[in-house]
Amino acid sequence: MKIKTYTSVYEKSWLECRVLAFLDTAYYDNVFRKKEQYDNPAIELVAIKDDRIIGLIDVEYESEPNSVCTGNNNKCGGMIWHLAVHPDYQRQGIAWQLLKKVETIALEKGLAYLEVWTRDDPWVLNWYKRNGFTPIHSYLHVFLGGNQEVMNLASKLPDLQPVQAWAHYTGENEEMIRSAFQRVHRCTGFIKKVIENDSFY
Amino acid sequence: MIHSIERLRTGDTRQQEAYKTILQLNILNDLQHYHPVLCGTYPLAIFVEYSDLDIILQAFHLDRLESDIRRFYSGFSDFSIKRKRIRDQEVIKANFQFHTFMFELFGQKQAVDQQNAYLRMVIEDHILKQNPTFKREVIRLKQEGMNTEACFCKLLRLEGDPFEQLLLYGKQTGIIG
Repeated sequence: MKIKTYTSVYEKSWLECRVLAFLDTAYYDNVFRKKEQYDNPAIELVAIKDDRIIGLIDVEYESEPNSVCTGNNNKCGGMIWHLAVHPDYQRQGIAWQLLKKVETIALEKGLAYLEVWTRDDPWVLNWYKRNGFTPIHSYLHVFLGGNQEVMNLASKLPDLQPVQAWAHYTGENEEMIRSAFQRVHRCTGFIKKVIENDSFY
Repeated sequence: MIHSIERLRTGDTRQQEAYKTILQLNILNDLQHYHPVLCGTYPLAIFVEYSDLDIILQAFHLDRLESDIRRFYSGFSDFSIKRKRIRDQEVIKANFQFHTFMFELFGQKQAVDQQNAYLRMVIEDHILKQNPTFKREVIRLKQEGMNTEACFCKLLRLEGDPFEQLLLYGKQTGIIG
């Protein structure tokens, strides 16, 4: 396995890896058909084995504080938009290798922290915690589908009837939301300070 | 003294692969004046697929060490070298890839058998000999993303900074002096 900088040659393999990796997560239907491009500079790394992408990480980073991240920090940070490992290669430390490499590059670029937002898969939340990320904030992702649920929506345009939607809920009444809608995820934001870990020595 | 290279030679397939890679790199000869010692997870057979090969060095003249490291390894992929201060000591850290292994070289004034990385390897080796079942658990926890020292501390139920706690444990139990 080698970690390399992403190039467009790998786009198809990148998309395949991402969609397969997300199948067993709360992001199972968050499917991309084109690799995301960023307005700001980004660290885009891929783990490659046999010319196939088996892991990926994308971090868009700031030149101006708070232009990408929500860390409410006076220093520049990087937002992890995508981190995935192909199901056949999970639990081998590949995500950790990708993160480690990103942290090295982030240090060189003078970034102070990394930020990530993820839904409520316990193993994903635990992975971030184990890797030094601290939760900072959370809110709900609410999916609306079916007549009963979309009744709550109205369109301002004539003859346009919402059929499905997803929404952010930032209020306090989680119980009400969970009882009204079938698919609700808690989305949690984490940050990790980028510091060189020399404790080993 | 742990003969870490010898352990690779007689170890499992990946350890033997690491052994051959180290010999082929000729690092033990090229840097012999700096008393290179392999530390970390490979000698203890608790590595995960993409663990680094950590080699510690003793160097009184860091300029000379830096120049040697650049001379021998700057052509390898992902080469980087840094000078910095750790615990008030000037040190050098270099990384590069050779074959399928990532190498991390670390040099400072202190004798290699007094360096923290070496002392922790001795402690971890002792713990593994006393608790053979820990090996599988450490590997499992490492595969989940935990660092080696944190794995040992979790299994020994030690709280606090795992790097410090493991050294403290080694001193308190007489594993290291």
